[in-house]
Amino acid sequence: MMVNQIPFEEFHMLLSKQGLRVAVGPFNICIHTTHKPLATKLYMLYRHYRLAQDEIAEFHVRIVIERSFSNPLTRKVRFLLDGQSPFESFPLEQALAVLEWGINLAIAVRVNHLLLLHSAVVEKNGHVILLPAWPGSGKTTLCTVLTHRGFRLFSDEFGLMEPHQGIFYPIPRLMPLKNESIEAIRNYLPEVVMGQLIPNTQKGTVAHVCPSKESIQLSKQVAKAKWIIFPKWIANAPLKIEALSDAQAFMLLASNAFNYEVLGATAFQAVTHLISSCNSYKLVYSDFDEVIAALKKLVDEV
Amino acid sequence: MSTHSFWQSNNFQTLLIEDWGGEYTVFQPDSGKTHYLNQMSMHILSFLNQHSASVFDISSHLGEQFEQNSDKEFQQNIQKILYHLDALGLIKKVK
Amino acid sequence: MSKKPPFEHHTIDAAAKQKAPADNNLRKQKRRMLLKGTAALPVIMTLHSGAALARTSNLAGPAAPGDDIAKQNLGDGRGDRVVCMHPNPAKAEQELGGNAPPYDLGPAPSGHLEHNSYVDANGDTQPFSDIEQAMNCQTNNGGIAVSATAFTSILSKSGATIDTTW
Repeated sequence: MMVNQIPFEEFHMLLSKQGLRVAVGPFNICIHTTHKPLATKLYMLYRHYRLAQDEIAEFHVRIVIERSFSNPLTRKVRFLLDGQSPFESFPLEQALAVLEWGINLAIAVRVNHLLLLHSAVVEKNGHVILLPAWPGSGKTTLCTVLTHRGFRLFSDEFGLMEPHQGIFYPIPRLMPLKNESIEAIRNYLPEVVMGQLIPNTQKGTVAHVCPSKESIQLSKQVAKAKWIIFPKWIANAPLKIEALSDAQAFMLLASNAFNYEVLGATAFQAVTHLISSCNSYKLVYSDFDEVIAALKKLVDEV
Repeated sequence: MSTHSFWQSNNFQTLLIEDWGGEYTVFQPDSGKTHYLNQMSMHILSFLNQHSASVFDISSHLGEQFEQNSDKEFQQNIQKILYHLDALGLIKKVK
Repeated sequence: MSKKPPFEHHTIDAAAKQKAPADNNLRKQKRRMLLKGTAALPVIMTLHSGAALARTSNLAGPAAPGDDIAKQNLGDGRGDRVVCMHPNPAKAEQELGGNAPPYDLGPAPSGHLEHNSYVDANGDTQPFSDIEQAMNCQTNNGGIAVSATAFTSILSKSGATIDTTW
């Protein structure tokens, strides 16, 4: 059963009582909150996710409301993971952003049976394209565009790779656009389902894009990677795509993993196999039409 | 450190080495670290796996292999990389 | 000049090496190596991973001309030695791409103190100047020499470690 198949009142009750359990890729996440405005936003943005009320949840997360010590009239939100608070508290209106960051953090620090690459991941023609990049390089923006133009979303944040077989698991989650990207996506993709603007976060203004229903429904369909593309958005830059040496791609990708050192030799061998079986490129772009055409051409050459 | 020191590789057989066409990625189980080596660094490691050698021996071998002068500056560069390899535990001094 | 090194290396199975065909021009470019123009010198870089979680936390550029280069004196008789911080391999990409710093040192940056002298071929001890130490750091040891101000900022971050045994 999907979230949108239950009425909001039941959804809200689950969130505020025993916890709402939703299947997100290979994990079940149990979310608790009594904060009704957050429940309203989640009901809209999580509507295509599958309910997993009777299943074991890997992550138990909670958004609680607390009074500010310095200003008792101000209420703030705090994220809890298994009862522990990894962050400071945040303004009430940032609850959705805090929840989404918190879930990302939980995945990043708790999942060590998979190699966790810091990368957007999309699928086309049965194979995965990794888009690893550093913050500010535009990977979430590019991922949003691609997944609304024929590519399937695996993740805008995590390359979840089974290290021995090289299989990638989809984990389609909300995609947080930041600052100028929000307007750029609204202009380019008027059909996009986007949450409300959340201003003044530590990353500026954030708005979350809902993954497509198809991406969520196909989240059990795994795939192997064939391309690794390090993207970078530069204003007015002409499209440029150039091959990277395997050694360079290796070092860039391994340094972009959350748990490479934890997995040790297993990670070294996994990245070696991955680089050996993929073509690696560096991509500079500024125009969405151009980059979509270039990537489609690349993947159609298989 | 005297230039008359002799060096040899350290646990070379335990390294996981991937050759990317003249560039190498190396996993060192002893430290859990991954290193990038270019061809000349890998030559040094593999040479020291087969022989104990001084900086003179290594410089002269590399000079031959890479067809370049094994002059004083080159020897100083080799000496510096030996410090580095030693610090990483990839080679050790034997006398 | 490049002869294969005389050692047996571990390789992956041939099947895994099967790559998708790609544009010929792009494939030709793959001959470009990670570090250009360094064939005549030995190079080793160590991966500093784990920085993905908080990649934006520590930004530092290399010391600029005129900067007070960060040095430390451990009181071990070796005098002032230049601090060499280790960035992640993004440095290599930035060098190749010709982009300007800053370098991201990650959430738990590490560094070492450079050697401030060496023994020459005659067995005599010769000093390395500050600039030579900074150059050794950046060209041979995969690091960056930072300004004293940047170093103070780096040290204030939790998890910063300096290897003083170098």
